[in-house]
Amino acid sequence: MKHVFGVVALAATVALTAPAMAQGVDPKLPAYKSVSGVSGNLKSIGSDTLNNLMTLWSEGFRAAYPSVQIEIEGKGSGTAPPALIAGTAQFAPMSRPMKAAEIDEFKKKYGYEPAVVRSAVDALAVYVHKDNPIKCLSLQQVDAIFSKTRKGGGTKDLATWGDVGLTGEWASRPISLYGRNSASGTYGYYKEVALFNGDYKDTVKEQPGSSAVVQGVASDKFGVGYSGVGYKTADVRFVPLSAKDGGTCFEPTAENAYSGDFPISRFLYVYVNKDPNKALDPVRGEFIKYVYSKQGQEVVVKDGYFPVTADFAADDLKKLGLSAGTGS
Amino acid sequence: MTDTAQGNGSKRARPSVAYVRPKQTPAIVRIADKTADWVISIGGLFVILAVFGIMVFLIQAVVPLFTGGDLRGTRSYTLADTVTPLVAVRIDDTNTMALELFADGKMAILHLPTGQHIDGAPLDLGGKTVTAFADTINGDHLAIGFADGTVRFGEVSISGIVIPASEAPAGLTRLSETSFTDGVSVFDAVGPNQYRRLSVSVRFGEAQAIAEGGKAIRQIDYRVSGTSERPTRGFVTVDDAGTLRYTRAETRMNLLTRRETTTVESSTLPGTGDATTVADILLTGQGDQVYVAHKSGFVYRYDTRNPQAAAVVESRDLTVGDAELTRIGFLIGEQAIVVGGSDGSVNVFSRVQTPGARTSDGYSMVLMHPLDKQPAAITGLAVSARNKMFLTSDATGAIWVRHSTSAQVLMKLKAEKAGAQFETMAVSPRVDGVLAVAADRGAQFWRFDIPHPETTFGTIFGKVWYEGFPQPEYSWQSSSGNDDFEPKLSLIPLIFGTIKATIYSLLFAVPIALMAAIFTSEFVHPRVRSVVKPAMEMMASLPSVVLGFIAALVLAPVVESFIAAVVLGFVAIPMALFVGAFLWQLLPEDAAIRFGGLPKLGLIFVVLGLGVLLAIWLAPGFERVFFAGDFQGWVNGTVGGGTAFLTLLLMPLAYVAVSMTAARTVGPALRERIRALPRTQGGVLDGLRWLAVLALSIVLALVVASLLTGGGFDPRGGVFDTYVQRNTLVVGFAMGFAVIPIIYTIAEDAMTAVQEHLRAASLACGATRWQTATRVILPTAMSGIFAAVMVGMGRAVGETMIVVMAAGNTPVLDWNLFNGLRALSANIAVELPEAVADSTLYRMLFLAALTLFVMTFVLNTVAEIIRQRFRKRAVQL
Repeated sequence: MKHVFGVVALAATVALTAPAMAQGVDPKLPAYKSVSGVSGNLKSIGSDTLNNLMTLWSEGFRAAYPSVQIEIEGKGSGTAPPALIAGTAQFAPMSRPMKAAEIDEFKKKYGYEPAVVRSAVDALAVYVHKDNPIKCLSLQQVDAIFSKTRKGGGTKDLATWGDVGLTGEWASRPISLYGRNSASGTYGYYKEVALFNGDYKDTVKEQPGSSAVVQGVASDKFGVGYSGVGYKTADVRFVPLSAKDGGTCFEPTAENAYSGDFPISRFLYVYVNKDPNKALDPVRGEFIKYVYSKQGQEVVVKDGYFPVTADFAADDLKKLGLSAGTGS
Repeated sequence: MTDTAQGNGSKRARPSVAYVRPKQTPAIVRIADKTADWVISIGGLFVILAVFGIMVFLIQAVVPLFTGGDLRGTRSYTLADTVTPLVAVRIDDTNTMALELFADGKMAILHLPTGQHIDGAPLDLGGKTVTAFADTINGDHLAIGFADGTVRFGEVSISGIVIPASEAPAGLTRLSETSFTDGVSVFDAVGPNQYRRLSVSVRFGEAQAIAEGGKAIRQIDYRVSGTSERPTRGFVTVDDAGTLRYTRAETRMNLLTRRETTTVESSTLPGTGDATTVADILLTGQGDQVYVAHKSGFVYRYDTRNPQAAAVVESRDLTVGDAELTRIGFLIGEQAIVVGGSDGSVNVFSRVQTPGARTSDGYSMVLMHPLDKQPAAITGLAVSARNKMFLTSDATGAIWVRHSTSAQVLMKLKAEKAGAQFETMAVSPRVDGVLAVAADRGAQFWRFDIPHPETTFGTIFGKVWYEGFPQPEYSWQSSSGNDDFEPKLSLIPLIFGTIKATIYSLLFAVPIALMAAIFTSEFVHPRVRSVVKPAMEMMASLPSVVLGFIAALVLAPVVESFIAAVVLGFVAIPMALFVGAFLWQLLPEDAAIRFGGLPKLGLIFVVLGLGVLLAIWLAPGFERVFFAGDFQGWVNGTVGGGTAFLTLLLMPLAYVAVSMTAARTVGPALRERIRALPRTQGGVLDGLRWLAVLALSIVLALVVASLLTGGGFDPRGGVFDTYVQRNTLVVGFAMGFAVIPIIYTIAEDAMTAVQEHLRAASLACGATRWQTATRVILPTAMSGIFAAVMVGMGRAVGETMIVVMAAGNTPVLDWNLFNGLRALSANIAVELPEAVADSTLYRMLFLAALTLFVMTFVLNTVAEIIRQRFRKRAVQL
């Protein structure tokens, strides 16, 4: 049963050099050099997970091009496609891939599919209060904590901290659930992976933003919530997760997110409206090049997420008809 | 008005006075008067028009939710080959091309607008006989099983890209006015000098030997799912010998090195008997369940979470009586199974976790939606890849377009050619068309538009059985990040949330606001009132987002850590005020009069502060006695009993009962005694009387509470249940801040407006100020007070930011004071940014707005009618 899937059998491509980049950026990423003739206004509407990142990128970008105005709005990935379709935003950051139905809507108006760049890597972390002694959770347990349909296969609803093995004062305390509103890509991605596409319990408190989730957990000793890894504060800690009951638990670190050992690592995307028959205008093109530059990916590390490698950058830039480095 | 002015003028004009007032009102005044008259009338009219306009707008935005679909056109065709068995048909998302794939590997492209065929490059199947075929729900991935026991997997896609006319190849053949072909792709003119090139790509891998000994593959199912970071593939096969084989592969890519690791699990499952009676097999995308459906209607369910130990965990006849199972398939998401029978029945089943299930994994297949029966046997089934819509064709040539969640038949399509029995159907990717192929290779294509298949009056306001739910429920979960999500669009939890927030916040706000209004209008010096009232009104100017912010981030954690003190506060603060009042009576008369002004007011605040301190000091002891030392564990039902708390709840009732009995029996005699005594001693006696009543009512409450808990009643569950940090109590406090000033200021105005002669008469007859306030002023001002409460209620119903921030937005359906809620208004604020214009969610949010509008409209109308009643009575005075 080796190559059961024929043409779609998955060719294992091995990069020749695996750059050692524990928490630094890929040294092969080019440094960004500004070019002339870039001006205009940009608006970004979409993911809240990417909100800080977009802000940091735009700050860096504006340092090179002070005449460029950038506005950023982050209410959730669900707000990105409507804005991109309506033309109110030039960039649509999303923490999940677009749904087929959203691509349909886009195609209906423009005739082509939106272009996408994979701008960073995130480990969608499960947060608890800093005093919480929980050691490890499996995805099945996470599912039984957050979901009422328990599609992961858990047979019992996990409602108190005692149900997941805590003792003492924790044992009788109900687990207080924090999550995102349904506009959030994080909500959708977590539901797909951690809840095995099941349904959230009605008692998950829907917060309008990632920082509100972390804030909620920080102020609620018996709380648990999920958010991008970049929103960690001193008052909360990550729960190590395992993909299967009884498996090894992994912290949401860069290595575990890259290797996929941490079971809910994902790409963070930025969608743009690019006509495949026209070149991207300089201001958007330069912004994407900036994101894929050394400086741009250093910002990713600074914000707590994990950078992408030069290979990914080159791939995505090529798809957009841009070349890495400088000049267009 | 001008007439009256003239009348007055003529009356006042006296001949003896030298100055004669002009008899005529100056023209300018009359003009101004008329203008004002018109402006006000027109303005008023516009306000009414605007309100109606909003109503009409909301209604027209909502109506499409309840209408079905439109048929946009239909056309018949004949397929390219009428002899060779058909394997599959596909349509592209612009409804321009249909791909026909035949069992000999031949492919043809049907241009739907013209009906012309373009021959595609044939697929080399090596002359093998196709015995089984499967595709994924979106149709992108195919698997073909052959008579020699091999399987080939492939991908098919019809992709369209827009190219400039200059890039189009030369020598195109014209298909129609706007369509051309180069023999491979179709070029449609879209816009000036632009073509959309639609081309088909079909790729198949090498044949894989699956069944041993070259036994033919009888049935196959194939799934491709997972996220882009972790794609999974799986398939199951049944061969001629009835052997079931399962394979699933999960691929993980290292995002750093791009190394892909694929883990493959394979196993042979125990069979279910004769392979020839197997109608179909199904595999979930997650690879955890395999269903083997027999023609008899029996469906065997395997639990394949551990493939090596997989076994049949459930078998059930999913058809009624002798009816055969003719078609079975998953809806998108692989949670619900559609079963079509030879009796024309179409039903939707789902695997749900049921407490009493007799299966080894605790799940069972249940009939979720019994759907309308078609007149003849079901011959075809096609499923949408975007939502829970599906189409079923029957032996009379009819195709019914259905939706699973709303259990409705959206459209009934009829074959143009009599006697056509459609067997194969392809739904267009955007679910706006279907190509159905009959046994004789006659085909018909329908284009339709069904924008909101998931909403009916029943799904919005009734209980609905959603996939995976153990029973029908009211639920609100409007959207998610993937297409196979089943939207749950019941407004009931949201309406309930609004009502819950309103009731609890009014329970908190109305007594405080009315007491405060009585106090400032009847008991304090006008100078104090002139300070207090504007100060209270200032409170109303606090933006509600600030209140919500403070409530969520400051108040909620504080209330959580001091919850026992907060609960005790509801008892301790009123008690402290009572004690303070009785102590005040002990003061000698001259001192009482001398300190009656500001010092008394100050004392009230001191007592209030003492009450708060007392509540905090006594809280640990209170928590130990009443809540077994752990409030949160207690409300959760894990520790302690209910007697002590029930006593506390019954206290007000017991107090009323005891004090009324006392007033009837010993009351008059006691009053005479007190009146005869000097003020201080009378005060002591009165205080003692109060203490006695209090003690007796505690005893009474304790006895009743013990009896009730002895009888199995527990105050927990219902209003007092599991504590969560963002809860209705906190919302009540925060909303109280917003509502109290409004109720207070209107009620206070109404009381102050009561004519002075009523107040004076009452006091002159010897009534105390309290008696005057409660028996004269309150009834007279009732219309105004009622209006005040109603305006407060209106504010609470529409209040958005406080509930968004402090209520947790949990669409729960219980009265628990200690958990959250999701209000209509908050829901609109939270979800509007993600709603694409004219989508179902967008219209649902307008329906929520309309509901809110109707709620406040009805509330205000009823309030106005009642207010008028009160007013008529008050005017008679």
